Amino acid sequence: MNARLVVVLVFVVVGLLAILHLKENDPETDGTFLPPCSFHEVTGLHCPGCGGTRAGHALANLRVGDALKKNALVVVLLPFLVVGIALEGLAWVKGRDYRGPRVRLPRGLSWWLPGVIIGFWILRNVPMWPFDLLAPR
Amino acid sequence: MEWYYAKHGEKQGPVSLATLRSMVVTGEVAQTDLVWKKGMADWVPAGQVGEISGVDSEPPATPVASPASGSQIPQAEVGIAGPVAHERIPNYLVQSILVTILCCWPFGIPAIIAAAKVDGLVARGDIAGAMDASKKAKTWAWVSFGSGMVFVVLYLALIGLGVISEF
Repeated sequence: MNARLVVVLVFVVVGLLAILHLKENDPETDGTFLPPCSFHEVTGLHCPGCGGTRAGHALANLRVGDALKKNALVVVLLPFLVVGIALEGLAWVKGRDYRGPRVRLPRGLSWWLPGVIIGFWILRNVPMWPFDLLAPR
Repeated sequence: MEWYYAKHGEKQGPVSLATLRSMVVTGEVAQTDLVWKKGMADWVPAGQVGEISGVDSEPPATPVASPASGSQIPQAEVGIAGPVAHERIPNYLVQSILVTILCCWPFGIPAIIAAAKVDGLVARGDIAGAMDASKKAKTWAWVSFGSGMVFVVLYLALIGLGVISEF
């Protein structure tokens, strides 16, 4: 069997176990193996991923509203990331033989995604309404 | 005539036509890998260069051979180089977003910016620029991943030493 396929399968199994672990453990009360954000620990500011673990916990328990309050960006990007990770994994396993689809930004939107992420980063650190709605809460 | 070819996003060569032909035969250079020699306006897939692939069924790459002028850009986009090159140059977009969100440090931002440029550059026919952006995205993604990993290792070590308690 292809060595890369083994690596990907290990990642899939570890990923599924991690999702199960995240579903059972609330990062706010029990952070076992759920490290906090290093950027937040050092600077006190929120990074674009801050609240992502808590959002994942809420999503794993099917509480979409709570997930959006913790990190709206992660929730919105998640479906694309799941598809993207699957395609990149497949492409990596197949190597040069891969001819399938890959994640591509629509033309003309290439500045849109970095803009949204950088904007989200800045705005969620502005300590006033309505921007504080973007911070984990 | 000296030929160059692109492998894993990097320019290789120069090699002679005979060498390049044998590399295509052995599969070391795929039909879809981009090749270029002096005098060509742009990189094209090896399979579309008759003298390399030995297949002359394709018209000799007319849209690619002509230097792209402003009015021809939309045509070049759907032309021969576009879709093939698209598949060959990874944009590392997914990886860049993941490291930005998971590793928290600002190193993910240059990765995303470079990754977002790759496809646009390919569409404009700037293959060298696209490869460069692809490489930058990859490098920054690794830097970001490394910085995140350093923190996780430190964090787990500090828990192990009992310096900080789990919460």
